[in-house]
Amino acid sequence: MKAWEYVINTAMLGTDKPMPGNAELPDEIVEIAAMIDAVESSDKEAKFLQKAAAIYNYRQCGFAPVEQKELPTNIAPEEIKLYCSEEAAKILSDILNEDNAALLELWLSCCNNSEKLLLPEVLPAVLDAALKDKMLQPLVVACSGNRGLWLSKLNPPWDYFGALLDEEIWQTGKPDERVDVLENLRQINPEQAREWLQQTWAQETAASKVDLLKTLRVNAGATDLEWLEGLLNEKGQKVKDEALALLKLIPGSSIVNQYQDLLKESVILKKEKALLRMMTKISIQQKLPLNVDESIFKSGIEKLAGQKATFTDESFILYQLISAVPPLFWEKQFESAPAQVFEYFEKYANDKVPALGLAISRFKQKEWIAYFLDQPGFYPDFLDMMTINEQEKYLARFLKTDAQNTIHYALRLNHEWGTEFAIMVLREMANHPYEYNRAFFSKHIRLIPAGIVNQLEKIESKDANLQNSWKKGKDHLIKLLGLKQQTLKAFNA
Amino acid sequence: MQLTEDQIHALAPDEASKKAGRDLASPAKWVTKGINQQALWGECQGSGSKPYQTQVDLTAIAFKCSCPSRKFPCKHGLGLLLLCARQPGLFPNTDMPAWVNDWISKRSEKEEKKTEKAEKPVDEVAQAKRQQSREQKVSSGINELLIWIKDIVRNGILTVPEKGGAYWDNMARRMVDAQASGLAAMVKNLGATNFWNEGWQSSFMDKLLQLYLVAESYQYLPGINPLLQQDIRSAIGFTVNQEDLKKQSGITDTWLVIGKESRDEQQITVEQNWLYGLKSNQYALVLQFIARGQVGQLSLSAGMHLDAELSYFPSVVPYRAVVKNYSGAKSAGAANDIKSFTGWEQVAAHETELNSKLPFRNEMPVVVSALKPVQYQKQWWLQDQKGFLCHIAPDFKNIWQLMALSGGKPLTMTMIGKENEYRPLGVWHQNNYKPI
Repeated sequence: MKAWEYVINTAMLGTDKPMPGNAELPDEIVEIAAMIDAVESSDKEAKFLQKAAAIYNYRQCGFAPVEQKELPTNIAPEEIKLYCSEEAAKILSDILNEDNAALLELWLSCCNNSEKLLLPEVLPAVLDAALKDKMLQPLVVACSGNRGLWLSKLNPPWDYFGALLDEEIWQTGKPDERVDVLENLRQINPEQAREWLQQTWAQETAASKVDLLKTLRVNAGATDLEWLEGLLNEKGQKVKDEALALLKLIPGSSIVNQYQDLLKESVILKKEKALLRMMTKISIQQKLPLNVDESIFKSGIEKLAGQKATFTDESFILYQLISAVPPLFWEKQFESAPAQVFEYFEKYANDKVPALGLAISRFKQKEWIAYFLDQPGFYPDFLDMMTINEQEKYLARFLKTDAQNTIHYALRLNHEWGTEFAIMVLREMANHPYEYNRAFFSKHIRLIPAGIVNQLEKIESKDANLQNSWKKGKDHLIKLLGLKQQTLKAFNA
Repeated sequence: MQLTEDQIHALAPDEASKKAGRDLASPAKWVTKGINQQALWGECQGSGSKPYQTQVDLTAIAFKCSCPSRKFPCKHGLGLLLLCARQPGLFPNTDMPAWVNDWISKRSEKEEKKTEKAEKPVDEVAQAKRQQSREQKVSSGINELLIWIKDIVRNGILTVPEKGGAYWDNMARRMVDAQASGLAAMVKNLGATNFWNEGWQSSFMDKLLQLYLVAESYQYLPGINPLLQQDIRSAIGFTVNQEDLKKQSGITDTWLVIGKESRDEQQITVEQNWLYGLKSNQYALVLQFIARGQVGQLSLSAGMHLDAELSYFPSVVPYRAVVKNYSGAKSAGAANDIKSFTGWEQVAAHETELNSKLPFRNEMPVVVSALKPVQYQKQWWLQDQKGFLCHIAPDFKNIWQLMALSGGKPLTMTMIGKENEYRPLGVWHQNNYKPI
């Protein structure tokens, strides 16, 4: 508006300077301006301010909205699923206030399982939460419906909706993304994952080769052997080391065969007749041949047990070799069933039992685990091969003697703890309230069952000095469990 | 007085206290607790050997706690109130223990003394003398203000951004001395112009001219329409006795609280509540000035409906009002029941009418139907059914929430603003009013 420009320009310069004329003023203002100018007693500042005030009001009264009819319409598609209940939305609001990603994940997962959607008004807060915590993104995408997808196209930071196909990420993604994609594919289709890697291998940098190769640890198997054996001739030492590490996980690889060959000669089950051939004396001979191929020691087998070791050097080498061959080998070597093999080791080579346990972990020989459940050693890798009940029973065995280590592995379980196990763990935690504090419970709330609140209230720290600190953590946990319980109730989960 | 969780949160001195209060709203934290009509009390086991004694006066919310916290109210007071709001059944209705009784009795005594003081007859001669003296002070203050304004336009506003804070503060303080608190606030607001913004000159001149209009008008007060006189006096800082106002007849209606905002001004929380009369189609602004640690007489929250009688402050454009009496909140009405503007052209006509009556008015709320938020030239706008656009204020933070509710479809919306820039306050979504 030109009249207003006149006001601004005059005000900028100041009335002390020559003022622009009134020619550009609208008719209505010209008349008023003339009346103002006619008052002789007024100074020029007063005249300017009065005219400006009139123009200001003229501008305000004459405001016109911008007309733009040609804007393209952009409407979010209708939702197919139903929205969640008001009750569930209220709990979500409490969870967002608590800023707890674990509870948010639980809420979203319940919402997704019941095929419901987030209310539209809460979408921005949840979409932002998933920016901070990428683990939430698939659930957020599932619970946001068409409205969320529509919003994500308008706001670039929420572009995680436009999930690229795995193959596209593999070809064009960032190094970390490519590793993730390959690892995920390895879980579902190990051979395809390896083929993808083989196809791009020549173009990969040395650093990315190692990272990508590590993903083959998931479901490493006989079909990988040929290619991995070939990688032992790679230029990069780190790539060779990783390929060797992978080969050590696969029965039938050259390195495992080499170990087996050495063990065939070194660990022999001896059965001798004694007492007028009435009885059979059994023993396990453990002796390395005089000349051991030096390449064995370049593959990671240590020659020396160390000064403080209870093993002799020879025994230490055998220990390492036993832990590096599949337990199946002993069935052939001793011509016995697994139970018998275990018994032989227990009776005649007891110091090598832990090595056998390590071999079971390494080669994931699930059927052998049963023999080790009562053994004093703790084999954390067994957990992945156990059922939920077995896992908790196994961990409970070590909770008294090695609480912190056991809890460390209990936290890695994928399922919510059973009530009995949770109470046992929390009783131990009560004695270490600084370690198992509010932040800890906020992070691990998914593992703790909501139904233990009454029992939890009775758990106290044994040390009187720690009771106050434990109480703070416990109260926080009770609050989180309350939210968890309400979430489950709201979705009838 | 039964407070909602939102109202209790609003009492917290900071976010940390709010969170700590929420954590204490657990029955396990309280060794003893009780309630009666006058007070709410509890003993909270803290880090000390003895539990903290926390008490809340329920007749006029006030707190006392034996904890050493300097925050007021402390987390214990907030936690106790929150727990009572969430689980009132946990609080047995019993006699007050001695430590609560002592405090409540002292407060009652103080209150009685205050009432006695208030009941003393007013010395009308002295009051008239005080009034005359004030008018003189205001007049002389305004004379100085007009000289100051003229100095600004004489020298040009080009160098205004270079002026330090003292330049504005000195004149604001002078206006406070002249007992013209309204003008003092306008001067401060003028100095608070964002000079980094492109086009600051226009918003600066808007404010300067509003200030000039008010100051200049005061000199011609006797010749002006009596209602406009009241507007000018209010803008200068003369107050209207709210008790007198409540004696006048008001507008009875079902009022929807379309928006609520609070800001802190020197230890006082200024709460703005915008109301819309569903039958009368009237807008109202209800202000509450709340000292820290106390609650306002009214407990309003955006989206609430209340049947109430409102008395407007005398004005050519009745807007600010006081609630004379009100009864319980009703359920929310549907958007169809609202007599809204149908587009920006109607809003423009309404604005013109208001501005022609009161040129120095502040932004006011409007309800407009079928508006959709759109992006145009990298800015956010609200588009009506005919394709007319007005800006969404750049300081509006919840644009994505608005977009999420709209989904690209038009919504009936409440907003506050002036000319071609508005800030959404709420929308009707699936027949529910949702504050944004």
